[in-house]
Amino acid sequence: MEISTETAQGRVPVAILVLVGELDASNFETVIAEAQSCYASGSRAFLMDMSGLTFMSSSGIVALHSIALLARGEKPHNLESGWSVFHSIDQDIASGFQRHIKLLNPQPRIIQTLKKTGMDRFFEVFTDRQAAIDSF
Amino acid sequence: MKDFVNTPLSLYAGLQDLKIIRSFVRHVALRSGVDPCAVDEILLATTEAVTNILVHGYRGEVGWLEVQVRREGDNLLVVLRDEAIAFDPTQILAPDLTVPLEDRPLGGLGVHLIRESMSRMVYRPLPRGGNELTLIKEGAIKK
Repeated sequence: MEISTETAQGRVPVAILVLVGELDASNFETVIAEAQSCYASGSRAFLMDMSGLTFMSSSGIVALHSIALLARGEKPHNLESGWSVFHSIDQDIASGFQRHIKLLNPQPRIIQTLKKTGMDRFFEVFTDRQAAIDSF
Repeated sequence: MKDFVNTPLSLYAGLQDLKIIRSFVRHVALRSGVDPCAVDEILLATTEAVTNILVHGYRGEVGWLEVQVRREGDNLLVVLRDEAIAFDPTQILAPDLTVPLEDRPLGGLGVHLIRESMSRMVYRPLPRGGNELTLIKEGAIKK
């Protein structure tokens, strides 16, 4: 999987992480690391461009949720925590869409993965890049 | 080109091999006549199951893994065999959020996604040690 980063200016600066390829346990930590680098540079709004992502497993869900935690100043998941990750995610889903990380054009199979975990209620999905940038 | 139906893929696998394993399962599933939407679900479940084997069974190290894709009637089966410590994912219950966190068994999103993606899974310990996990997608093969 390839990751590239752009920045765009809406009402606030937005870090756009462009993911191309397949996201799984072999590479999800690089996505978190990239977001951490953006956060260290001052980014607090993240748009994940998933139009080129052809596969995402539960590790991708953990990466997205970790970035949401990071963006609001919390510590990302301990990946060995098993159910605590699920519990944390489940609690967050109950609170509705969060405002720090949004998704751009995830492919239908990835939307299905989000739905299977309830994460479609936590990550707002956009089909228009500018609308996504302006939504932050 | 050989269709690899019933012919297992056997390798010493690490997490970097997840993509190769998906390519193999995708190829055999499509050659078996599996509906493309069902292929997506089979790939997700296979990835989750293999990830659990590698991360939990082999503690993140490289370990022997055999992946076989089989057709039984209209059903597609993915059979995973390993030499890792005994682990039966069918015993992982659906999340009960009323149970204290420390009392919950291991397993999380991965097993949940396997259950959501496949019709059922069947586990048996292997006689020589290790595990065999069969993921079953009923009605995956369209005539």
